[in-house]
Amino acid sequence: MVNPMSPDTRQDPQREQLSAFLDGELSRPEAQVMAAHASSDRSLSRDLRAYSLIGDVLRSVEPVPAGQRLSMRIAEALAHEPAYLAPRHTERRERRALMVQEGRTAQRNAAWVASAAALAFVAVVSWAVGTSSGQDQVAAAARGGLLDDEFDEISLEDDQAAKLLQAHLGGSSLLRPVESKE
Amino acid sequence: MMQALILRGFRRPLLALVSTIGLLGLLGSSGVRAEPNEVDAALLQQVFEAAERLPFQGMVVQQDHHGVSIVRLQQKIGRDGRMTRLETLKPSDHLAVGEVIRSGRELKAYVPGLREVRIGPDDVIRPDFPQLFLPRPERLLSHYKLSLSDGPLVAGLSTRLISLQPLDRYRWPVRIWIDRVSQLPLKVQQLSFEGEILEELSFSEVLIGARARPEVNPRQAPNASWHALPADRKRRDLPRLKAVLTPVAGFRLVGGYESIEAQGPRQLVLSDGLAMLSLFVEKRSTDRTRTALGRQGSHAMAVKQRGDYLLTAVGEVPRETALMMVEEFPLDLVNTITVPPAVLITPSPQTQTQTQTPPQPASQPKP
Repeated sequence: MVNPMSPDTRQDPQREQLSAFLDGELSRPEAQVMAAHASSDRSLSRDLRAYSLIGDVLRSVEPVPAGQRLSMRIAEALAHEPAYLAPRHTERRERRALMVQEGRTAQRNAAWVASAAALAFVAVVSWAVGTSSGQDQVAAAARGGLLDDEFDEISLEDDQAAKLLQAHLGGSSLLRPVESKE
Repeated sequence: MMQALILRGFRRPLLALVSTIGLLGLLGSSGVRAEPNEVDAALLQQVFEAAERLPFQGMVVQQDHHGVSIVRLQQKIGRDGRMTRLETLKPSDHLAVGEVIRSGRELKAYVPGLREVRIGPDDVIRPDFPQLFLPRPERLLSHYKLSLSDGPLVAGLSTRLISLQPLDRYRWPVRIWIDRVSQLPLKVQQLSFEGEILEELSFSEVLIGARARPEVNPRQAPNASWHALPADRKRRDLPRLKAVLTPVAGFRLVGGYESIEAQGPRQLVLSDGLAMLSLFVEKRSTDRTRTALGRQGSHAMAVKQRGDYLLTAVGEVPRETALMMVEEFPLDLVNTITVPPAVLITPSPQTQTQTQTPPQPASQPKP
């Protein structure tokens, strides 16, 4: 499937590859090559980031995940780590199957699959990054579990934490008895 | 004559036909019709408006990891909008807040033990039960799978149950029981992904609409011996940031507060229309080298030092969401817009490799 938000593929073979990359249609070696290009070619990396964001924004009324440095970091990491693309297709198939079950329209299905591919790209490729960066932890979260030993523990009962929680809750915090600290 | 005979002869079948059509019409209109099992934008809007426009009075039971608390909740609709009064029935001690009055943009909490009126920040962003949604609740359809079913009696009223199942793991599943007649939310539960109830708010008794006689004036009558404690923050939205893509799909920047203290934290309020999260950005250096995470009931908190700034995300969201916000929120953009150039965060080497454009000139947004 061709990503409708992909760059104009008629003009540049590299951007055609980029389109396929975004659509999840590259083989593992091809994806590695593309990631290496993206990490070394600022123009290409900018295009990668821009196309991903523009596509997501146009496909959805809602804002979408957009850690601004994310795509670049992923691409950089990919260039040094073995790519792991199979689950992306698996996840995409699962999402497709889910959409079919829900009987959505073909148009929405196409948009969803494209979005799912982008999301799966982020999730799976992040998984492949073997460093201990924060992004790894976020990716672990996206897969359904946090690596607790990677984090310090914080109690929401601590004075400072409780104060911020109360500020967050605003009037709602007063639903529960709130003791004065003054 | 002949016509009369013909009509008389066909009268019974005609009556039967008319009756059948009428019955079918009734069935089709509302009464016996099977409930649709899908929630549409119109129903969400009705639920939102019910909480905005209906007077009510009742008792609300809240259950969470703290235990159980009961408050009296009343809402009156006046010319200036709605006024809500919340009264704690069993204060934990004499220093506890006794009642809270929310009127339009104003929020006041009365602490009789201290003879103190605490003034809340103007123009409260967060909706309070029974209001659960931010405006334009149809946005929820993009991030939750919603279904509708018959519910049990809540506070003696017949209900329908709206189940919101998130499409990802960045927000909790939520169940909302709405009054079948008025559509007012009567009960809400936040659930873990395993189905455990994290928090529940429910009317134990309620009168809605014309039957309600809400009294929203404060029970306490502050006099000269009382003192007012002004809000420690003021509303300050960042309009230019409202279009910023946040790291978690669906979460928009819906407002913000600024501390009245010079170095106090700026609070950015984000929401997907139902789940709320605050991101506190504070210019403060700590020796924290690792991200800290915590969770208490439905609330999660993540703390991370990024450059000269300490970021704290807290909200009724899974830990993953809070983590994503402190890790990936485009702080450099917030920084560029809100603080003078002298205190701009210095990009890390990693960031510098990605920066394609020079930093924009800093400017102070108009309040």
